[in-house]
Amino acid sequence: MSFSIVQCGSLLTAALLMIIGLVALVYLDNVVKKIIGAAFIGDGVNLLLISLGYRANGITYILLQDMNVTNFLGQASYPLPFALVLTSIVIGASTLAVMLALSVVLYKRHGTLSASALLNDKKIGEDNNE
Amino acid sequence: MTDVNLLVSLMDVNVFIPVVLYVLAILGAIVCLMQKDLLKMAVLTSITGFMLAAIYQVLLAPDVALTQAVVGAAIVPTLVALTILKTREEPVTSEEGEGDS
Repeated sequence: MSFSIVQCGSLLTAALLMIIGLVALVYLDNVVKKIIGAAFIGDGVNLLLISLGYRANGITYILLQDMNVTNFLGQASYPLPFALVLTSIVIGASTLAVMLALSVVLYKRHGTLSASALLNDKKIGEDNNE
Repeated sequence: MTDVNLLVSLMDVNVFIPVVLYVLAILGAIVCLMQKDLLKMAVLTSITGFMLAAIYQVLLAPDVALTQAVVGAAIVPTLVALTILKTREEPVTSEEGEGDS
């Protein structure tokens, strides 16, 4: 068995987070909840990448002075996806901030954050015609 | 036999703690999105963020855990709460709060 229980569970958690975010994006009416669903999808992708770098019974990828290099290479987890996810978390937070700022602008122009009310709003059609 | 082995390995602390963290992260996400009150939703967002930070620590990525703990448990709920306060139907004025106290 090449996958440990911890790794299988984290992959399952990542899949469930992505499913929850997708359901929130499609079925929930409030725009802020849709945005949080998009953030959950990003969290799920981050967790997926992290769990791919995990090694069962491994150690953190820091080489200390009294360690044997051969044992370290045999035990350390794979650090490349971790470095990428570190960037991805910050980018996800900043895109979330931009989406929330746009929703504030949407509320100031149309007076509501409900997606169904926004789709029925006449003002949006007028903006397209201009 | 495999079921018995699975149960025995679930008793191990190194497996039990991550499984609890996974369940808490999923439940936090579901409860957060099912919440009617939007300010409560903003606070409950931090549950999933903090549990994800603990999961990253368990999965041998301490630097990612530090970043996720700051971003997921502090910055994202603050941004969401600020947005909700700015887009309330009836904004709470400061005079009402002073009158109550």
